[in-house]
Amino acid sequence: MEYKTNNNNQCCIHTIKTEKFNNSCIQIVFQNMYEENNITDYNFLVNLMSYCSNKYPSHRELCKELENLYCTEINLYNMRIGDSMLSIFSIDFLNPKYCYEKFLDDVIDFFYSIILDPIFENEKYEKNFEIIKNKMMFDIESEMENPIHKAIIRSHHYFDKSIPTAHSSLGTIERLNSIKRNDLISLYNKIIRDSNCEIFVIGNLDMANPCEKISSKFNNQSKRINKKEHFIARNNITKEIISKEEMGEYEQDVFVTVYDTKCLDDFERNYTMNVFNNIFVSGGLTSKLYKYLREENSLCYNVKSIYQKHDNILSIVVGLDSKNKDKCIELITKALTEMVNGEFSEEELNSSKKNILTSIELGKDSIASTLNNYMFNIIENGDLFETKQKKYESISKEQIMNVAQKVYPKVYYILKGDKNGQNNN
Amino acid sequence: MDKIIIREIEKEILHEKLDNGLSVYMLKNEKVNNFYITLTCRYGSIDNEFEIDNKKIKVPYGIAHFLEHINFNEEKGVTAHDYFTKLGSFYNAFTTFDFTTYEVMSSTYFEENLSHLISYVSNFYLTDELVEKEKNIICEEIKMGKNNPGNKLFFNSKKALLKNDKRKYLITGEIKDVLSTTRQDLKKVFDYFYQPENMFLVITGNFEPNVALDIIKKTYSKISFQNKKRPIPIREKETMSVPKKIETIYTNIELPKIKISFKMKRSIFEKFDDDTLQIYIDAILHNNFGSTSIFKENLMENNLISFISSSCDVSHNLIIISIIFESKSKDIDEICKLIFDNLMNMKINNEDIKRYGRINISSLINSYDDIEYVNTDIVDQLIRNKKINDNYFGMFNNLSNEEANEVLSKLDFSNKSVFYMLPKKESK
Repeated sequence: MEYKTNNNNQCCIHTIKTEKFNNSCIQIVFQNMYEENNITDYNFLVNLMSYCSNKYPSHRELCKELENLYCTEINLYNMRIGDSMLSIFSIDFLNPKYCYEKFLDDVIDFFYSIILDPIFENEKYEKNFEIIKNKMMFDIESEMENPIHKAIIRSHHYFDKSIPTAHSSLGTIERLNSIKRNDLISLYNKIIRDSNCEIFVIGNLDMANPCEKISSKFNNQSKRINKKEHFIARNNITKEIISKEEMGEYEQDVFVTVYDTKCLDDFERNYTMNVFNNIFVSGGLTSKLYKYLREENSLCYNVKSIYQKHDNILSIVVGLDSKNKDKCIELITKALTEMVNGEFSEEELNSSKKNILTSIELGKDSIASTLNNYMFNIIENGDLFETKQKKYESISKEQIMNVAQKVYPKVYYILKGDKNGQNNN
Repeated sequence: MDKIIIREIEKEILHEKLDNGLSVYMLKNEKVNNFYITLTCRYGSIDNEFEIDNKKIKVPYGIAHFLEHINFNEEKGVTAHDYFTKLGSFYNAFTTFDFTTYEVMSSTYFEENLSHLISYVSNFYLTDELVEKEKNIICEEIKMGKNNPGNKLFFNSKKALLKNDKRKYLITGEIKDVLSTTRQDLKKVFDYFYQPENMFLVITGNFEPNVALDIIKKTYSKISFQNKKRPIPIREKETMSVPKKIETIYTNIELPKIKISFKMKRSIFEKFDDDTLQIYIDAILHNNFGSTSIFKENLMENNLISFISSSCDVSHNLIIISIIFESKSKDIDEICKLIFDNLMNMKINNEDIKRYGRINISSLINSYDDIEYVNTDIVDQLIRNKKINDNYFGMFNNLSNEEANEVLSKLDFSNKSVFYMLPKKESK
């Protein structure tokens, strides 16, 4: 694999040349500060730009062109990392050797027609605006159909209602109803013209060709991403554990515990915490929580953990009968105490590290994971695969115990289902 | 070893049938770091009734899935989880209507992973205590599935459409089925169906095929199987009558979801093999209901739907075509009528069929990068066709507009069921 950074007068392009994959990808990453009241606008804009453009004013025409380009795929989405909002525009396409002579030129031309020539001034704008608005409205209204998703949002609300994860990441109906064309144009200009930006190209390509073509179309040279830390600011968290219960009309109850992990240092946040998490819950049926909750006590089928390092939150999600909630809390507390006291073996530690190292190896076989590895290396000084593997191998039992002491339970939340059987369809 | 050659991408799938009846398929990819191994038993949720020596045997629904859970137990207090966790491997299992697959994926310890996968799946260890313990776990899994609106739509619509076909039942079975399962039921199913001649092994990724074959043979040489007769599954033939032409449930969702399903006889399309027929029907549906269709564009532009998709399932005696949509419209029945009219007036031309071929060739080329995807595809082909198709590229390159229109002309939409899944608040 050959990595290069091409910095010229027009823009900075990172190229990763590899023969490993049959497809290639160009990805442009724009970075701005996250603002909660803008999330609806951001999502609206990328949905609209994915749907149509000035050159392809209907989704049908755009899809037809993608099919003509040998099933090329575009993916425009927003990703929040802590207090930063990344707007990511990417195009995945087949290796040109399988296609025709000018295929790569056509792919890049198409990509830039989507990014640089949006539909705002086209007479078909209003129709497409309404379609996206209605689609987003459906999505926002349907979001809480998933009880696990709802339970996580509600539990985070009780943790700290000011944090992004306490709200829908899709946006709000109120804002959706008030968005105007000028709002979108203003946001578009902010992203394309004023944002910090990095461009990535990966695949088995003669990189001079796409670099030249990208440079000729895109000028964002002065705006490199130089903000490397992305932590979300939080209100002070209460010392007591908050316990809440809410009702929903679901078949199965969902229990969530939320932990504050604010006191971890960089290495702990990026590495030690993942090994802790693997031994504690995410490492499968031999992890502590699976052992206690499922295998030994048959309380549940599934236990899930979500670690959001930029937000300093760990959430544990269990689908179970609410009558077993107290038993569940007792067993989770027992498991965490054991982690603090070092009641896990060197063998368990080594197995967890091996599991994480295997997942890194799996990542090397994926074009998306490989590209994202380089992307986060640039955006937040993240380590590349080989460095990550060395650092994971170095983690000791004492380091895990130290991290366990810094994981503070703050919320116990249960979303109760319907036991009257009315929902049993 | 036999070779199945995929010329267009210079790949070859190696095949060998062992003395014990097990078939092994191997596809090496030197570009990747990892390997993915699956061991599949041709036993799934639909076969809870079977015949052996003229004697009919019936076991509870969901038993294939229950057995999949329980099979991880190796001996007292020891499970396959313990073993694979020590190696750092990713492992799992899943049950479908037609088969059960056990899988392991890693980049190291190839011999240990392969050998242990075979050993633990092939050896049966079970106590009454383990059965009772697993029941509660599976009951929670069933409840988790019922929380999922997609699952509800899938299985309830099948119940409305299918009369005899057991694909209308939950793969897990219902709670009452799980609670009634005994150790004896599980052992019976294991003994009859988990025989090497009823199973196959597929390995993809970076490994040495000759080394793999030696490991497989060595491992199986240490396992003895009872010489059991092959049971004959009892599968009642599906009729064309539809149990419920219209079915409505009210449940905890925000937006109505509607599924229109049709069933038709496979025998109408005798001229075409399953793969070819599947491709042509998928192409027709894609052209008339997909993102490049004028029909979908009109529905979206008029704010009648937020989502629509189509699918087709070709099996040995039955074809099921389904259209699913989501809508907030007050007149859902009008949308159903529009969909039905579109079905009756579907079209496909030469340009459409050629474009469809091109996008699928592109997907096929990309898919060979993904060792998990290609392994799953091999398993699907072996279950469906009992062999591997070495000519997908040729088929997509040679799609014919005449044949597509011949298929189109024979599609029979007279056996229909419409399933409405509506928000609870609408029932008040």
